[in-house]
Amino acid sequence: VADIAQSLGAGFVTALTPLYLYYALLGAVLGTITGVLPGLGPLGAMAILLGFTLTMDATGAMILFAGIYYGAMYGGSTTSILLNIPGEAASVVTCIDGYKMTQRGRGGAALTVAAVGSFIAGTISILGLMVVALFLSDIALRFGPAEFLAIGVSGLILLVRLSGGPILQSLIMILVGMALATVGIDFLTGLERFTYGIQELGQGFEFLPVAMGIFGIAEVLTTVRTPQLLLGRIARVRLRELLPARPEWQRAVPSMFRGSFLGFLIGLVPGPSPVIATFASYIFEKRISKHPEEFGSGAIEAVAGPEAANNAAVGGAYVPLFALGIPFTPAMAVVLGALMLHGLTPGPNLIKVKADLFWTVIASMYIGNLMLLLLNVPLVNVFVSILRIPRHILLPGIVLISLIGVYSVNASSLDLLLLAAFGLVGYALREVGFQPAPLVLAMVIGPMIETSLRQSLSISGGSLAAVILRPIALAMYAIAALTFVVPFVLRWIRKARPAAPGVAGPTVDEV
Amino acid sequence: VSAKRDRQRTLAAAALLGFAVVYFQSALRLDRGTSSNPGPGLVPAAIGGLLLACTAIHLIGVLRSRSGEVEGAASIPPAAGNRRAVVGILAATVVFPLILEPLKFVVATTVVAFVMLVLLNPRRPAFSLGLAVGMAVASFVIFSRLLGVALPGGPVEHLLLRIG
Repeated sequence: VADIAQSLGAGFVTALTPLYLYYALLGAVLGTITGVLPGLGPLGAMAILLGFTLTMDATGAMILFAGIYYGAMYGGSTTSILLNIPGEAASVVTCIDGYKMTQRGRGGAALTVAAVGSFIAGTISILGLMVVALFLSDIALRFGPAEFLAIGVSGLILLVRLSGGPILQSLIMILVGMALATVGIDFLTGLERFTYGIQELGQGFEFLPVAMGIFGIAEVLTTVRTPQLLLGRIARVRLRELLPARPEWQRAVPSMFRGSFLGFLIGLVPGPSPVIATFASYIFEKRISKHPEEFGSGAIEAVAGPEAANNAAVGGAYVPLFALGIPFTPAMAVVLGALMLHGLTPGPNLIKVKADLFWTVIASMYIGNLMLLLLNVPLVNVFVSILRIPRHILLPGIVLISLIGVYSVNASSLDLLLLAAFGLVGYALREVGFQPAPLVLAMVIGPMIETSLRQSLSISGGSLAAVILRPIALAMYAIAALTFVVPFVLRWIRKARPAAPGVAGPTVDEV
Repeated sequence: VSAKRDRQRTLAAAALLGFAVVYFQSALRLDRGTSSNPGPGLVPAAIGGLLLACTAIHLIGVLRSRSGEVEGAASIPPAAGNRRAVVGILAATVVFPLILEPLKFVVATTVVAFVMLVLLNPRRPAFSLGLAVGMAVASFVIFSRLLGVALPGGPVEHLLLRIG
């Protein structure tokens, strides 16, 4: 504990230097803006800014991205509550009761509860991140290739289950991502694979144009195709309206803590964890509430719980990245891309080898959360007015930033062409109902899976059973298999059992 | 709209199957090694085989469900208008790297920004041109001067640097 306190103290000393404070503030503001703007989520913003992080050091890049990710969760709640417009996917649930509270004249209270809940969740999840990441990275130092293979494979299995779309489509996206990851020179033999004589493909596909194309350009193109939002009069929130009444606090605070713990746990699992966390928290709060009938018509717990949960999930999502070097969410894949751009190799050693980076980022997360609380509540009217920027000016601006961002890294025209090509691929996939996020995650995790498989087969003398049946690996495969199979079994049981008349359990659809 | 969507989904499923066939064929040409000494073709062959099976099943599913309900179809958002803008923005991103070196940063960025602005708001071309020039100059100053990004420069860029 003394060691942790000392390391955290050193992290605060570094994080409080003017440059890192500036990055934290910049990340918080940019994140809030992307959270407010429908169409551009934190993932798109992080992907677009990936190239520019080369002008800063790795710690600065991590601080900026953490600020954007947390900030987007704060910003998303603002437009959900005041305008019934979810700025990003993790704020959809907040629209339900948040906007109803605004219609009843309690929008200010809902905003404060969302911000305070986010702050509490952020703080709890950073604590969790510190403890769990340190513990897990210590264990992971003893892992061999078989265990890393198990983590990668079970992570992808869980991703197929939890990424939201039809399972076959998610599986295809993962396999396409893994196939693209095999393009280039084989690291063990030095042989070229799938380059078809194109010399530039020898290094494989650069992560930057792929991520920026699929998440940045494709998001812009999808936004172009969706109808323009017609904003009516945006009600101004007065400062005195921001204070919740005592009974509102009494109902909201326990939900904030429940949402924080639930969100953090869900954040550890592969998939779009902030989105899943908000739905899970909403359902949980409704189940245990003394007033479930108020849900859907302005229950403050339905704002406090989900808003805390999506922020806590962000902290949880950092655990596998820092402890194992494996991203479980698309946003973490972009963060990993930033680390690799700075020449860092993520893995269990990262916390030990780059302890200063880890602790400074942790400290800056605390500072960033405080900044967001202080910024978001009083400046709510300023952030909402961002929605008034015409879309026909905003979207070309985003495309230009993406183009310059990709060009700034290698000054390569090929990278720009790849950006356009993957922008088209990402857009086309969305148009036909595919979620491209698993593709990018598989591109990042794929090489690790291949390396681990080939190494562990060589070590075990070619015995696949010896690779799979190692205790930790077997446990991971079992958990992944159960998570994959159990929903099918439950659905089959539900279908087989005749429904009791007049009895129906709550479903997600009801939410 | 339904027939058009069916066509798009069939086309996408066929394209994915085509990709799987080409990838699997190429993977089979690589050395797969032995189980105790896996070669560079082992994992690609496994990925290719699985991908081929999955994309084939997907295509069959899409063909069978044409004009009917299909799993996941409800999640596909109905596309609104402005396809021209989508094609134009994509074309602009392809053209940008081709004109960047010959025209240099400010002129190339102005052209691309103007095209995108006009496509999204065709009513005020003169305003769009002014805005495009402003965007190009502002982005040059921010990225080249403030962030130190090396951008292709010509007479216009040198002039801007001297003014700045």
